[in-house]
Amino acid sequence: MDFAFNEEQREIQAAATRLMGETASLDRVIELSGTGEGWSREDYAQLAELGWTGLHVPEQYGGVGLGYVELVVVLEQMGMALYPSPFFASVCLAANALIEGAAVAGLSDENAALLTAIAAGEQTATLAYCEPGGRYRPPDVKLTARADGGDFVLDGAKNYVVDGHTADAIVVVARTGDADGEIALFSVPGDAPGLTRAPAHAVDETRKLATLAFDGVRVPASAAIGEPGEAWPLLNTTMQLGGVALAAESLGAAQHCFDTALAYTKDRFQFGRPIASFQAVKHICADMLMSVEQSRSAAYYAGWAAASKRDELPVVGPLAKAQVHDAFWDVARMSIQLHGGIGFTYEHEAHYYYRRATASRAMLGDGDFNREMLLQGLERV
Amino acid sequence: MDLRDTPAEAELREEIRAWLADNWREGMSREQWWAVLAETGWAAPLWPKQYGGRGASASEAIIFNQERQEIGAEPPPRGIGVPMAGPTIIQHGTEEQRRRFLAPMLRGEEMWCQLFSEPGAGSDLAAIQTKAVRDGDEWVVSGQKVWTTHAQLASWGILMARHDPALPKHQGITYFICDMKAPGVEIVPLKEMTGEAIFNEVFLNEVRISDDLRVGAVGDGWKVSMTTLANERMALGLGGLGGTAAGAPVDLAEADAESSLETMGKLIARGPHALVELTRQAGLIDDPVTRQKLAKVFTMYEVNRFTGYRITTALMKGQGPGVEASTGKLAYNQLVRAVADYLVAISGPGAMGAVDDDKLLKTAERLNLVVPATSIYGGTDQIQRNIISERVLGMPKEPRTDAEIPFNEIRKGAA
Repeated sequence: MDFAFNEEQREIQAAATRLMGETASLDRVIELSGTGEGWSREDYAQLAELGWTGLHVPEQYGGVGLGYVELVVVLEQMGMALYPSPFFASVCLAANALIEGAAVAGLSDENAALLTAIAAGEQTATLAYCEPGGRYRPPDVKLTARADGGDFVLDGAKNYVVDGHTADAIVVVARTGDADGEIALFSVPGDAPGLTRAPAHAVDETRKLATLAFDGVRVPASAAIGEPGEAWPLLNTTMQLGGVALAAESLGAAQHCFDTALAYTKDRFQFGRPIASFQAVKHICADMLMSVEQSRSAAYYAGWAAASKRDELPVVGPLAKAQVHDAFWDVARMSIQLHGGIGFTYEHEAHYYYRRATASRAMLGDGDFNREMLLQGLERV
Repeated sequence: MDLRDTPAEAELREEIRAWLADNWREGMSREQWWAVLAETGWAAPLWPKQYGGRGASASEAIIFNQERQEIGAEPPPRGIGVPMAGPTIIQHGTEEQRRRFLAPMLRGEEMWCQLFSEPGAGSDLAAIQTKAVRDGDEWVVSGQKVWTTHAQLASWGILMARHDPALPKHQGITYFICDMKAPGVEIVPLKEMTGEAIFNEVFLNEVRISDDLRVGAVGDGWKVSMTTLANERMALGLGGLGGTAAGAPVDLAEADAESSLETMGKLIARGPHALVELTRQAGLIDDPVTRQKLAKVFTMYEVNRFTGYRITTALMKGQGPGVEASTGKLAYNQLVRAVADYLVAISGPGAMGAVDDDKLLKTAERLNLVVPATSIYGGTDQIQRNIISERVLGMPKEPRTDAEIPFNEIRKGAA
């Protein structure tokens, strides 16, 4: 048994730490958050050069063919820095839908080409699931896919689409019939006729959201990922894998919140002594450490299950998503508390993490939702 | 990262399985089994060979324990002997003490108890007031100890006593081995809030202890006790890290057969699937509020299991346990509280206690009443947080106003 990173994984970790140090200072993150795109194409090209955009993509699609654990390693470092990048949307949502779709039903030539382009970092993609007023349940998918000749015609709306305004392709969740499970996934070019995209307000300033309108968007049958009308299980697996990835990213962010807060308590003097010397403060820090370490256990184990023990993924995927994000939100809030007034200023970094915690907790379903998924993932519960 | 056995571990596992198949028989008496374990070093595999262990690697010890549990074979003698007194005697005792005490300890022939806490020395353990007065080759010990498990059954107790009250508190303590059958040792069962008497008060009335039974130098008692307590924290923290992944049978407490603490330990060791089954039996498996609670408790169980893999990995690599181990006892207590809360919740009005032959209700009541103990014994949750923040996070130590002055000038206990 070895529940620790191996040498190759530690090298990737070191490289990711280095890259974040070079390209993701807080100033840079804030600067990028003020741009329309919200991320840098040069930075993304660097990720591609390192092979990370294809880290867990099978080699037949030009990927590196490593496992989910390596992805977890990179995401944790990205999360620490709040690295602004479509990496999560493209590699951890869209690519997963395509990789899992390939396993279920094979990929059409155009979807294989899309996955290859994502792996090469030449294109970015995202997943469009949520709809206005909806959540992550089958009846909430109202966007319709109507068969028409050999094509499908898509009509409806999607929101909270992560990096949806810049994605070259959208993996869209659609409904092919009235029954709950009649769900399909299609890849749609970002510039498809009838598709309009608008940037949307995002609580997390370091990750952009878009609102999408599909008005008679016509796609060929070969755009389907998995079998149209039978893609609900595929979507679920994509959600679980996305949840594990997001958990890894948020673990890093939570660790950063804790590290900075702890350091601050040692520097900040009140009543003639560092506030780190007060038990009220020490006990908060001990609890934060426990939260972060429990999150690490959950995120790493879920990463390993995603890579090597798929039968546990339906349970430990949602488990990790819920555990890590409830902890991240707590730790981000307590970090502000330990910083005191300065932590509540816009100028201080703490709110960017609190915003990330808020948004990532809601993304892919909140704690309550994922806990219910966990129980459903246990056989017969 | 790979949680499966390495080829070397798989080979080891095969060997251990074969050994267990040859040596463990269903229906074997506990004494027979313990004798086999002691003879072969499996009672304490990590101990050096010359003291009755195997000098085994952590991997060997861990795999042995897993395989032993797998076939339902009894654990080696526990109590506080092998986990706490043994390592202390190995590290600080004399060669004569090791020869005299370790073998019967491993065979389970002599049980041990701990004479540390006193009415006036709980979290502040160094405030003990039990006196040890030198008299030739002997010491005369007088005082009161409390929270002593198994005092009536124990042959020996590990004892902290104050040999010089004029020294600062940590410097005036000496560590002894006390014969529990010696004249002057009086044991009074202590009735706890559960209604049981798991613990005892032990009164020491001029008990004579030979100087041969001193562990470590005169005045080194505090240092020696740190070895005992570090081993205790380890044992308590690791308690929550078992958990069977697969559905273990639901087998609730036989109220009179075991103590509440044993009920608790078994329930936690059984893992979260037992709770799923109980929820189904209570007819609440489709209730959304119950499901949320269930999933939260399930998560705590599993997260402890995953953390256990990290600790096991570190131990197997011969590294000391990392930061994740420091929070083990806090995490365990968090889990135990959640499980108690959950059982009470699914008991509904039955938590009031009217139906006395229902096993779920009985277990819920026992667990709920014993839970306040967990965050007190072995170092309170608050002391644990102090230890974590000071030793792991490097935060400043609590200011000590009493560390440098003679012990007999310090105000002690309650007003």
